[in-house]
Amino acid sequence: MKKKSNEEENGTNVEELLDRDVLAEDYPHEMIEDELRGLGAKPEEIRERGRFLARSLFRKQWKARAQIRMEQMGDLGKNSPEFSELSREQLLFRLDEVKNSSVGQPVTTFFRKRKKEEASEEELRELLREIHLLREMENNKV
Amino acid sequence: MLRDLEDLDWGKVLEKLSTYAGRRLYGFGLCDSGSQVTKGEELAAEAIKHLFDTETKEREVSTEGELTEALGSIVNGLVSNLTRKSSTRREILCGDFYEDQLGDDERSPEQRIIDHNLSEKVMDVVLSRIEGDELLENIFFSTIDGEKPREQAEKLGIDVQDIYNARRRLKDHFRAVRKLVQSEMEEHTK
Repeated sequence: MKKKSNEEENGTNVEELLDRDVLAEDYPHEMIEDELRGLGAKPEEIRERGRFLARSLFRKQWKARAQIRMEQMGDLGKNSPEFSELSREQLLFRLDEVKNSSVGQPVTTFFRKRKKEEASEEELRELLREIHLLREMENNKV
Repeated sequence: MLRDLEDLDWGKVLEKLSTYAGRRLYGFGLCDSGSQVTKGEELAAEAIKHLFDTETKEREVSTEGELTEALGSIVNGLVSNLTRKSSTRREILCGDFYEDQLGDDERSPEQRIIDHNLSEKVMDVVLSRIEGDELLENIFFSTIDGEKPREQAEKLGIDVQDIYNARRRLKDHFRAVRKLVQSEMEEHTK
């Protein structure tokens, strides 16, 4: 590793350290928002996109894990119902029913920071299919 | 596990990381101030996706502090990759992190001399600009000595938020001076 002069090393390090301040846990969040606004951005929109991104990534991760378990189970889950005959109200009713059961975790996660009216019917059906799969796993003790 | 962090406000995480990524991109001359947040957000989102994709790293991250550290490192790596592709460098590549990222110094001897001179000049001008501002001078030197903002606050007996405000002012000085010095040097080499 090459040795740099103190001035050169310090010069860059000071700037880098100052940049890193925003990552500190005690850095005031309002200062971040001020900085973003000062640069012409809308912090609330960034926050919204961040929450959406995390939701979709957690969901993707959960689905990947479920997929692995499904493959381990063989044919189980292969004939999951599509729930295409259910209306939006019926889908929400079913999800409400299972919310507090042993397989209700995905429902709680899905609606943690999201209103019911924000979910599309396809997302609700997908959620019910996941619940169905979880129930099958539970019944088969996988 | 990342799952432990599911309850975290990821909106605030993206805000924080976008600000950091934007600062780094701008510092390296990879964007202008007008696109700093947009580019920063793109890079921050990429870093978050990368963290979720990397199963091995996932197991190591279970607290908010560890998460921020991990994401900050990913952002640095991504910025470093972009820097390699870019011909313009406003910031000088040195310090342990960049040594780790780049391995051998990729700069030509000429570029190293230019960077060294630039760095010296920036330091001199920043110091002359903050001369007389006791708080900034204090923060400048104690940061070089490795003191953290909380330690600086305790030593000076002031609120840590005031320290962060002062560090922000110091950062603005660096930015302004580097821009000025660099354009002077570019003018000189024409």
